[in-house]
Amino acid sequence: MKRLAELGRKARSEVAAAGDPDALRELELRYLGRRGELTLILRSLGDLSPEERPAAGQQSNQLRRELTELIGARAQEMRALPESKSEATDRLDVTLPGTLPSPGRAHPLMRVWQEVEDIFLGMGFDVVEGNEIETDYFNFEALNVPRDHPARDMQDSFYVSRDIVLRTQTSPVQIRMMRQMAPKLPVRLVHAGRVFRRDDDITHSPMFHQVEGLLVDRGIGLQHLKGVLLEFARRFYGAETQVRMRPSYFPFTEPSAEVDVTCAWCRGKGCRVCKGTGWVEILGAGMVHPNVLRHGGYDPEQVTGFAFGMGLDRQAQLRFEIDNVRLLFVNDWRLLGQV
Amino acid sequence: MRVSLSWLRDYVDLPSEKAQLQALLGRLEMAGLTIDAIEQPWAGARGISAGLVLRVQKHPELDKLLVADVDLGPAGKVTLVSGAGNFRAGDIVPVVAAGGALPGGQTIGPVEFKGIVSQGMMCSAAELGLGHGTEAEDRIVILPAGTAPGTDCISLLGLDDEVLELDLTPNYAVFCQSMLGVAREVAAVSGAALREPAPGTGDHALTGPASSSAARDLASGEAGQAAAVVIAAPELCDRYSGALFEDVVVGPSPLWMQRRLIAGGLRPLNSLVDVTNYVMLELGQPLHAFDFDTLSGRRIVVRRAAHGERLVSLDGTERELGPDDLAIADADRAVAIAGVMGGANTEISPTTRRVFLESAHFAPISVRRTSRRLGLRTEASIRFEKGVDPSGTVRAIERAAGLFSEIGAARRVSGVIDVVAAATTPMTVRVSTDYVRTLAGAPIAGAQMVSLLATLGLDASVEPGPAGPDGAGSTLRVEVPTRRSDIEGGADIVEEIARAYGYDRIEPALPSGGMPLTARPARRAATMAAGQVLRGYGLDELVTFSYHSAAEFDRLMLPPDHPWRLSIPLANPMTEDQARMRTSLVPNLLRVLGYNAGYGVTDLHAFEINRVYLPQSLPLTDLPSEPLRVAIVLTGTAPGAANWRGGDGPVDFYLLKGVIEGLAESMRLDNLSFEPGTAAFTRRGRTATISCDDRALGWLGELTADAAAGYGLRPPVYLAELDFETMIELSGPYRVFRGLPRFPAVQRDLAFVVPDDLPAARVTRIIAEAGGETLTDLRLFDVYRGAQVGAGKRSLAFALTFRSPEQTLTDEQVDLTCAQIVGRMADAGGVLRAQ
Ligand SMILES: [Zn+2]
Repeated sequence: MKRLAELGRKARSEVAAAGDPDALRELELRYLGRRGELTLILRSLGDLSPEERPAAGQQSNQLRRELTELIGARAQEMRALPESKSEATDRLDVTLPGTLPSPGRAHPLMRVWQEVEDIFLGMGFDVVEGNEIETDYFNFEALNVPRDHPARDMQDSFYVSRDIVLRTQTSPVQIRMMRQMAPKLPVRLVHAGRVFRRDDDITHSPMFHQVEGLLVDRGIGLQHLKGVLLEFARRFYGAETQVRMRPSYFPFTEPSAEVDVTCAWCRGKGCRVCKGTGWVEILGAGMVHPNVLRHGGYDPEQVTGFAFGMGLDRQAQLRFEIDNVRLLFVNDWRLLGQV
Repeated sequence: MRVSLSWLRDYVDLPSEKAQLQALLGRLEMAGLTIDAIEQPWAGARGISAGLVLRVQKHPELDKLLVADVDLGPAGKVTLVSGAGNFRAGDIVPVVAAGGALPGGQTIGPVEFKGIVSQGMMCSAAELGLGHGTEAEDRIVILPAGTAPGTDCISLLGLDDEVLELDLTPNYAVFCQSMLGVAREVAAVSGAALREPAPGTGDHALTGPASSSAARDLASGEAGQAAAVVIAAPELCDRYSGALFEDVVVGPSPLWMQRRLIAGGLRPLNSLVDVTNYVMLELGQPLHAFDFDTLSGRRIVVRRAAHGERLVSLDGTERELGPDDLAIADADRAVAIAGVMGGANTEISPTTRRVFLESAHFAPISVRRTSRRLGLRTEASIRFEKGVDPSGTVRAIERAAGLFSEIGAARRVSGVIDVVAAATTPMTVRVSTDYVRTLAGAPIAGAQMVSLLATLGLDASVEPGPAGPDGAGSTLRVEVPTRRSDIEGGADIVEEIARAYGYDRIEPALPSGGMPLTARPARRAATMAAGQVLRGYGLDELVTFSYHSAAEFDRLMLPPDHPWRLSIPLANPMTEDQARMRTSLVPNLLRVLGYNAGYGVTDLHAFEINRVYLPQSLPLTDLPSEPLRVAIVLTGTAPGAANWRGGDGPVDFYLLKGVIEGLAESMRLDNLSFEPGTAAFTRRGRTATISCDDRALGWLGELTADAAAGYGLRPPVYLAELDFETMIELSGPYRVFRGLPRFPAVQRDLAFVVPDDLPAARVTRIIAEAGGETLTDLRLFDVYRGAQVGAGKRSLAFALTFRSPEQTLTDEQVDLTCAQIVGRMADAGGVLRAQ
């Protein structure tokens, strides 16, 4: 018991005198460590008489707690003291930049492409591929746009030969995939890729990107088109987004619609992006034209479907506020470095 | 299509309240009529009022000018000076008082003319933006007698009119390229009544079937006696109607008509032409007026043009026609390009006494072809291309006759000519009501379908099925008028019903039913994964065009037979940069580097994974293959190296090789091999071909200084291109776990001095083979060249790890293996370096 009291006194004064964290760590080890002095005394309790043991045990545990607290408090005090010499030598300028290369940047278009695909994958649409160089048949005729159809004016095409074009839309994939799948149901897919039209100005690039969606099944109607696009819009632009459809015209859909979403930039109040209307047009859509279903190998009396096509470049432009579509393909580092 | 709102009010009431009008226009848009813009063609006009001319005198000094005292009513009397001579005391004229402004905003101030101050100006039609031509410029507008002095002329003359600029989709263009067609849509949306324009003065001899539902060859009255019409190409012209007019006075048309034509985007010309244009804008039926006395044989023959037949069109250009073009001819020659433009040889002139008015229906495809081939798009050709009602020809003649008479431009002789060569019968569409409900996605009852179609002017009825009108088997029967040639079948009827019902009332719903197994295609998934790896190395992703100029091949100094030159040419590129579909990603990437270098951005590390287009043969007969390539470019300082530690070394071959190895590793491609190679545009000795399992994958190398200069780049530029398709094909899905090692490993370092021309890969292979199964890892950690090893030699130092799966290796066992390695190296000319 006397040894305990003496040990306590000595330890208290040494802890108080400890000059730096290293000394303190050493004291902690010396007294409280696995082979520390206090631990040894505790182990020697067995030598005491049974009557003395409980009091001595209690006392030594109390001292252990006290020393633990003292050392902790002293360590706190030390952190407030000016740094020691050894610490000064090891000090780093933590504000110097890190030295690993920064990761490269994904192209803004590719980011949007992937995000849109992810959303439709999550909604049970398969992702498929398609040719960029197509036959006139798949790009136009099978999509209800025969030669001399006025709708060909809407899409001035690049031709390779009389029968081969750079596809003007992703829709040829509709026909190719339906033919591959018919008569299986449902057809439920998206496809994104390059398309080409002879247009070149601040809002048109001769090469651009579309994402195409197609759902063919029994009993599909405009309400499903609206439902799926609403779901997409909520995931892509934000949960409070709303969609509206306006009647429109595409040769390969009937009825057809332009689809607008509430402007995500001003939340519908009106801004530069939505030209003050609160709505932003994002895509064209409609119910697959009976002739197109027939070309795809399905009976329009039995099944119906919807299709939509959205410009990905415009989505990238909106998301990253890039006002000129052509900048997307210039690959100017001064742009890529900003987004 | 431009729609003057004040004109539109002739046919349908519009709300006068601005907010209500806006709401109505909003509903029109939701019905599918896109309004591009709302223009105010005469905006800026202010302070223009009616003035009564009290007294007119000659200017005392300037003899070309008149000085008038004019009463502006409540605003008092003013003195005005004018150069026009057409007004006299008692006339009412529009006056901009000083401080007011003309349309366009030009402010009028007081102006002194040699001692006399004009306190404003009297306006001509041209000054008010209401007319064209010398008449409109030289004459002051005379307002109707009885107009009170001081009356506001801005509303009186319609200078406050607004014009809708409609962007018509091809289906709307069929029936909305007329004021009446637009009015019908407005009426459908607003519920207001539609007022059809009066047919004109009644000439009862002309009434009769106006429709085109039966073939006929009518030539009645004096007109029928005087003129004849023959349709020789019924496949291109199914109906040709005409009428004859006498007592023709060719002069300016009245101000109200000119104003409406201007609002509609047309230029007023003279009373005859203006009426034909007015009727076209109003009813959608293009008309053409011939000087009847110039028509040889007094006959019209509608025929295909002869090969090389020539005609000077009204715009003064000589046009060459052919058998694919439809001509309107007289007995001897072509006098018009059908549906596109009239000919100069039969043009209306000031001396014209009699007019033959054409109102016909031409095949859209023929007009479209001819118009495109000639590069000549006119208001008439645009309408014929999209669709004109074949039943409307006679009605348009009657309307024009009424207007000619109203404005005193001509008098119609009795009778009409109406040749219907091919009848157009109105179509009846039958569609099941269930189909309508399914496709429209809304619970619309049969009776409601009928009433919705009625608002659009379509007659319909329900033929009930066995289970009643709204049960299965009920059919909707729709009579489609000939003006709606856009309606071809049941789906079109659904669109009409759905837009009348309101797309906004369709409740969104998610489709139920089966779902496919969804996944990204392997190529797409691999592209994304590889992009992630390359970005991790600090490379930026690029997206470049699919085509480039043919000059790129020369810029890269490719030999004539280089495979990249076998590229698909575009038949109709817009610029030289779209001449060839790319066969390699490299040219466009180098252009991107050059572009950025031009802006001082020289540290560029980038990649593109995209398609190239490889023809089987040229010219293309089958679709080309579109394989994916991955291309990498590095130039400037190495990624991340430009930092404060000062290690800002330039990019080099091994950095690029490391990226390629890393990409291959991420795709689990084993046995990647690099061999010295050559390429037309890379430096000799600094180029390698890459293969895997004996399949060629691509190449990497340093761009030659010449090629770099061609792109405005400073060396070094390293680039690589790999066949991503083959990489995907060889890529294993995953590797399997082979268990944790049970026995410890032994490490040894060995350095060999070898001749310079012994490749490191060869040395590695020798060591690996000699090391056998217990050599589990082999890493080259130092390459040394210098005095200590002698000229023409280098030292390669390897860290070797030995481990056996069966036992703990002893030093003796490892020593023995090392001795074997040293022995095999000695055979190859490698000497163990003294420690
Ligand atoms: Zn907005």
